[in-house]
Amino acid sequence: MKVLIIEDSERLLYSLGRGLTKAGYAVDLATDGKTGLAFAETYDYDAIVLDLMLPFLSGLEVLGRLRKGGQDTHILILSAKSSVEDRVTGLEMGADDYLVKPFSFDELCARLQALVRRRYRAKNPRLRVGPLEIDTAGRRVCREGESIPLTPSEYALLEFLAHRRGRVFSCDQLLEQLYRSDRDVSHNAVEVLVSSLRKKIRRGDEPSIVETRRGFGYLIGTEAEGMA
Amino acid sequence: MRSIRTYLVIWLLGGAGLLIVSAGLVLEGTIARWLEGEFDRALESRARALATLTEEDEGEVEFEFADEFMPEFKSRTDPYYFELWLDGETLLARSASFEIDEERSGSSLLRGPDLAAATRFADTRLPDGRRGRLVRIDFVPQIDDESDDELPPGDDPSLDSAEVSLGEERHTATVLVARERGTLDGQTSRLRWSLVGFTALLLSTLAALIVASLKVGLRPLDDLAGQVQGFDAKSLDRRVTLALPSRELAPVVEQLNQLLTRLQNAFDRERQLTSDIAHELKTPIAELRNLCEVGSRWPEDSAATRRFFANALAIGLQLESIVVQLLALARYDEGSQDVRVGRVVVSSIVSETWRPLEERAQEKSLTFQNQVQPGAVVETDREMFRVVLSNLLSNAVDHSRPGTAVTVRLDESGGRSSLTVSNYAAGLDDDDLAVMFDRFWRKDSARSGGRNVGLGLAIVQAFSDLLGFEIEARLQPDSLVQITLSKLR
Repeated sequence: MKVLIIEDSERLLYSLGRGLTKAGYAVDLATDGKTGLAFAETYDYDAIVLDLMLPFLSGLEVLGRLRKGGQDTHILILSAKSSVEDRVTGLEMGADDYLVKPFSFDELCARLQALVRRRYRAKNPRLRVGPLEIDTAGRRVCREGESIPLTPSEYALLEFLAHRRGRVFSCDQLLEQLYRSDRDVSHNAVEVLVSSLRKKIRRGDEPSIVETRRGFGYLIGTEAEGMA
Repeated sequence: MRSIRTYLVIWLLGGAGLLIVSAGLVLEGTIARWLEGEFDRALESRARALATLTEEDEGEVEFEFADEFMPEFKSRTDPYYFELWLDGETLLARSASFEIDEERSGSSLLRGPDLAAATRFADTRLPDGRRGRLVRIDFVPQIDDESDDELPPGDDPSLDSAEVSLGEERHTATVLVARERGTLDGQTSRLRWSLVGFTALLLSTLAALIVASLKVGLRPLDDLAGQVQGFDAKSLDRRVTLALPSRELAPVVEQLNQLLTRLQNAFDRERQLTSDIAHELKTPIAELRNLCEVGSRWPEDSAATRRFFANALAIGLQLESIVVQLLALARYDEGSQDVRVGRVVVSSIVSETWRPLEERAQEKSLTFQNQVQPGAVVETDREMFRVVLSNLLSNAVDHSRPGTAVTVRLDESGGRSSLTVSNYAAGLDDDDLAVMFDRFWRKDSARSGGRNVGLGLAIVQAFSDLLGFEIEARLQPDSLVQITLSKLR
């Protein structure tokens, strides 16, 4: 899952970025409204965390321009402004959620996860893919009740493909979705990641859940069992 | 607690009642005396009439009286009585009313010889036992110089006649006339009770009028009290408006409304300040909480943890800075900030204040020009002046366009010392100059979590006020911002 955080406090931006990355998100960071808008218009994000009081371009202006430009990315406003009027204004201008500072990191993660589920119209936080059960809230993967230890990147890849079953994604697309936009990562890293994930979730000689379409990319097939 | 209404009722009713009762008593006394006077005059006129009937002829005193002309002296009901005494010892004549019964015939009106006064009125006990009024007239009978022409007393049966021969010397006679005074007492009593009744009616009416007048007259006061009682901290936006405005209460209402306005402004400022402080603290608290949560969940990330600690320290310092600045403003508001005036060498303190800012200035390629004449001094509190300068220069560094100059200049003319800090800051306009000294004001509303929380210029203004500096901000062409502190030398 890829999220964009637009927040003018560099300290908050840093700790949020580290935390969400550790939680398995690919995180892009912007410290002002102008940069944030440029990121949002360039890349496809699962969710955007948006502060309201930003230099150069306020959060509401960013929100307004994105919605005016047809962007339907889920946006969570994260602001110190806590009045009912502020919250109503933000939601009426097209935000999907509103969280007031100070906030709990767990609550932010839960709300982001809820926005991601809404994007893929999945109300249940547990995804079932073949023999695997993915707990998107706890960010854990189990097979027949046994937990599979995945790295944040491996988990992110699995959840990304699981949400988009039947769709093939190239290495470039996966790079864009799984890593920070400003990070220089090669195709080889994706191939290593896919290989590592397959090893952890596969049992014996059963067919791999993550399939390869030569020349096109990777996917999780629709024949895998649907959601629990 | 004393009630104005009760106080007014007591004094108005008491005062008016006292006046009315006094007036009633005076009136009653006057009328009673007049009635008694009229009563006495009627009595006296009868006595004088009887006196004119007494004549002396050749040493003899004659009294010629006919009952028919004064029937009241022989009436059996409420009769008048008279006695005519000669020289105070000889009863010359008396009215027929004495003869009604034996008890009366044995009594007399003359209680003792007293010929000193010419005419006297007195209360007496009548021969029939009733209370009566008596007039006594002592007189010298007139000489009858036509006695020969008149018929002898015995020839006219309608006339009583008495003659006493007492020699050559003139005689003195005393006539006493009495009648019952029940009529007079009855009239006086009726008058008294009429006046008592009238006074009571007047007092009742007056009391009702006073109570009604006070009720109507004090209605604006009641209205004011009712409205004032309804005020609390949540209704300070209301104002007192009297349904019946009164000239006496107009200044009270005006002052009260002005007081409410000041109170509301103070409450609004307090609320705004509390809100601003809470708002200002939210971001650093959010930063602190988030880095603690993330750092404790993934403690193995040592690089991030080190940076988290550094950030936590920076957040702590920022919070400390906010608290220190707020305390400085609170001391100013309370009037508890000590001011210790001394001679301060301006050039030295400007250089000293700039030194910690040099690194930040170099990052923006700013140049610094200290144009204060060496040796120039101002009389002020050194530490507070340093805080003022530090805030002005720190702001100048933070908001100057890169590559421009920050200048400090001291002018001494017209008996005034004026210190001006100038810098080129993009984005300010004239409207900003009016509010830039407000607490928590920042041109850019974004809370960047850095040094500026919008209290620096508020402290500059507060301390300048305490130090006696007038402060003025001007915006010159090319976004040159000049902030001048000036005071009389």
